[in-house]
Amino acid sequence: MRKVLALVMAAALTLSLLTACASSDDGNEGDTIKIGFVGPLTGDSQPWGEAQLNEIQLCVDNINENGGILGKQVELVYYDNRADNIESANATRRLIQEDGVCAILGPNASGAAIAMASVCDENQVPMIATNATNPSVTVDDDGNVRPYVFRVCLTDNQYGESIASYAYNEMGIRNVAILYEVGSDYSMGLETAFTQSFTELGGTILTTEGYKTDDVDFRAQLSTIKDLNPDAIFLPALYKQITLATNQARELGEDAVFLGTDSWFNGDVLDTAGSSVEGSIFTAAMDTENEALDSIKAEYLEAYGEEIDTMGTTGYYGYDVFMVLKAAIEQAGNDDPTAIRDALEGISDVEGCVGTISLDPDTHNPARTVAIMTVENGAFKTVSLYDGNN
Amino acid sequence: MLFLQQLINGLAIGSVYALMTVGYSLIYSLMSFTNFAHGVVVTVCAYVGYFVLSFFITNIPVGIICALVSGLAVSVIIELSTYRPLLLRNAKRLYLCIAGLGLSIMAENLIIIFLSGRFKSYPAEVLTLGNITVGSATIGIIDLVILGVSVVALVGLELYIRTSKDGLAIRGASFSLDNASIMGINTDGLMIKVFAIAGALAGVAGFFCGIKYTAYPKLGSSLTNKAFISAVLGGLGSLPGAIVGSFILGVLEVMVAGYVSSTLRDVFSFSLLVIILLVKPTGLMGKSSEDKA
Amino acid sequence: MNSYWIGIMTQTGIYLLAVLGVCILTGFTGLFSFGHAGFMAIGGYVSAIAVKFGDLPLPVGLLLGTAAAALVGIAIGTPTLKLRGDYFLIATLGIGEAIRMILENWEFVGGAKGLTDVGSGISFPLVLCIDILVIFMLANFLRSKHGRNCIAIRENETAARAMGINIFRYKLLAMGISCALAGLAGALLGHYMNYLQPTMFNSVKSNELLIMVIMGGFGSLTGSIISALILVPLPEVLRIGSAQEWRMVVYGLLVVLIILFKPTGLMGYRELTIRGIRNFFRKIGMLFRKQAARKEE
Repeated sequence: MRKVLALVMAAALTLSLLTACASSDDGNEGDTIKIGFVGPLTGDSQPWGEAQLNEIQLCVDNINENGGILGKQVELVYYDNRADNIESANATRRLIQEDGVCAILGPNASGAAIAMASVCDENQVPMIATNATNPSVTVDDDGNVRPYVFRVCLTDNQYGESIASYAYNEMGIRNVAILYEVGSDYSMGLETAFTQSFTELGGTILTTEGYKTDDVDFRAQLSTIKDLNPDAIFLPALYKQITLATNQARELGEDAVFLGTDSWFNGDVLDTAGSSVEGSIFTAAMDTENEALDSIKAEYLEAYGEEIDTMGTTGYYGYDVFMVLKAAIEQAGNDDPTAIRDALEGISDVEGCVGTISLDPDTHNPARTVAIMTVENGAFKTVSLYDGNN
Repeated sequence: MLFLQQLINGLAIGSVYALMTVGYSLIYSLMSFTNFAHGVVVTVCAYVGYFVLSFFITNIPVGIICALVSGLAVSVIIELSTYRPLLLRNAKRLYLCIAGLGLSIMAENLIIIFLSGRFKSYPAEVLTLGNITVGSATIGIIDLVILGVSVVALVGLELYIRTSKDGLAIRGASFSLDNASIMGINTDGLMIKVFAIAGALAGVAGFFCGIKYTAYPKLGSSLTNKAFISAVLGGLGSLPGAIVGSFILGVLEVMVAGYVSSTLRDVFSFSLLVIILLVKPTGLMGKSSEDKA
Repeated sequence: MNSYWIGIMTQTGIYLLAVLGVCILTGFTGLFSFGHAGFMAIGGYVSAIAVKFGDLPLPVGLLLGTAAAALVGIAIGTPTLKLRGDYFLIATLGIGEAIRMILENWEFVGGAKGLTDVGSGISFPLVLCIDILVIFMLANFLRSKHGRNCIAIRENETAARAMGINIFRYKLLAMGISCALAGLAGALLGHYMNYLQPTMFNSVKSNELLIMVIMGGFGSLTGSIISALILVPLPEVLRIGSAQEWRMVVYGLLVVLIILFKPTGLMGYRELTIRGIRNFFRKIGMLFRKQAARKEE
């Protein structure tokens, strides 16, 4: 028995020695600027992660052709987080420790962002989340801003407010039923924000029904909703659930208009649920018909043979997040992570794809304009813009 | 009336569960093990249906037949390649379960690799067939089709088991496979037949699930869990029990989702499973489940 | 040695405990558990609640987590261990999923979004010490009378019962130890990540634990240790393209092949001892000597 113990200790020690040798290069060679990217490159969320990565890579290539940042070439190191939070944290650690990046772009999901936040704060390397909308990504539960975490997208509160406001003021909707995904930071955050905004305006939430991630049958919830006869149904879901839920609702004879969020802006939704979502109203991160986006669209199409926004606006966020980082590095004058972080805090007037971006030093969040879109005759169309005032 | 609508919803869901559960229960009653690879058949046939309907001919009956045949084939292949060698060696039943698990993991990930993890939605024409109204409740045409096909299949199966010679053999063998073999029944052939039937039913279930829920890699495994619960509820080893259990589960789930809380539905189902196993493992109509010495 | 690799090793050490837990259960009761991640979850969440909301120190939290998991395991084991093999399997599957879903719906612990800032302070040396201590205790246990009774049960239950061994009590003991280990692993994981989320304890995790034990040989501690040491860091080492899916395909295939051809896994029921290694080399030595002798003829 003691022999077993001795053996185990020997094995453990050997392992420690081996891994000590396995430690690879410790980062920057000095004449390139290394930036990292974490996003879902496989699995259900792959289209979004891929679009973003592609756009960022395109930006990196363009910049390098034009002399790089501060005269140095930019190197992009990316890892797949498989939409998993632990993987995100591991990937972040690897980027910082093994690859020696000076900043990390991404992720595009709040859960992953929060997991990565503590790693970034601990190692003092800044991260700029692209599409993580939960307020607590940049501001923790005690109200303190996380020093090394930033983002270029709006928060759930802002999105919820915009759609609630549009529905109440422009569409005259007074009674809404909500169907949201329990377990999705995205869906839950929006549900809370919408409920708060809508009730503050004077509207009524008839019922809030939930479903679990991976649920595919919503008829029980939809029947309950139908029984209450709402003016509209708020559905902050991802594209698969959007197609299933809307089709099932129409099949049950439920005719109310759907209110959605930026996840609705997705070509697949039109293909598989076109007739069911006709007339729906949803928010989008930006007005995709804006002419300023034409050059980005054309470039992406030429480089990758696909449209940048078939699956949503994440590709454009790739552009924005890169531009913000570039501006920060230039402002800092070097690629020291802490200097970049200081530059990011309070950075202002960065040329994004549809306007300028400034980050609020208190919350590390940007102020942006939201587009309100609809599905008309089987195609997406912008109907209005909302910047927090109307 | 909301209750009627929810009831119809529950029965529609239950009919799909029934197609899966019956196959699983049939295998269990004959060979006394849990076929974890059952979900593989469902998933594969959901994809088969997708490909047939999207690229060849968008016709539901054709789809059903293709799914049925593929399900049969896949199930028999699984039996011959994996379970047969183990059974010949008289391996412990647990080993068969583990092998089934291994197969199911393999299949799910192979599908993700070669067909991408994103879901494949059947053509829109099949998805929007319309609905009919019964009183104040609405039922989709596709659900009526599913209900109809399920009932026909299940009744057909029951008749087959009760009246045909093979059916008699199956019933006999479900008491003891070895004794049946002594009595001159070709147990090898019987096993193939049973897997074929189970596979065919699962294939059709997969096709219907593909229509209603799109084809995606985890389709089989998530529904297999429901099949287990239905089978245990109705009584493992009993075919009528499997059917009854499935419909009851379907209706209960919908009622919980509609009247109690929509997010507690799965908690309810799994807790039900655990409670039944602890309190009355034989379920509503099943046989004894104690370990024999 | 940077914190990335240390982190991987720490995670390996943590999961090792859970794997050992499953190994004890399957190796010594012959029952497979498809839901052991659920017991990890119990350990993790109880410890997190104790530390975050009860302001108790970390070691107390770990102890509470371990104890809670063990108690729940015994409570569940009492009615289920009497069931047949595959009933037990389905029961554990159901329990694992039920636990996860209950946690997903429980707002107090953050529900599906999870619980943040549960308290950190898990370092690699700590995990290594715990691992060594646990292995030491397990090996000791197996050499003791109780351990030998368990092995007797595994080898032939009827004969063991005839010898007067209380089968049920020992199965329950194995279950308790197994769940305690899983709970400890879960608690360590939660505090290591400083974050808990129910999806960290889903059926995929349960399956992975089971796969590691099957590959290593479910009657062997060393088998499970080797298996865990190789398989836990593997996803990190393989960060290319669809590597993760291929990894799972290979796992599935290996499981099927192992069951078909060598169900007892890599190490079977044997343990790694110094005598065993000496014998191994001796056998090789004899083989060479035989060859040499034959040539001279």
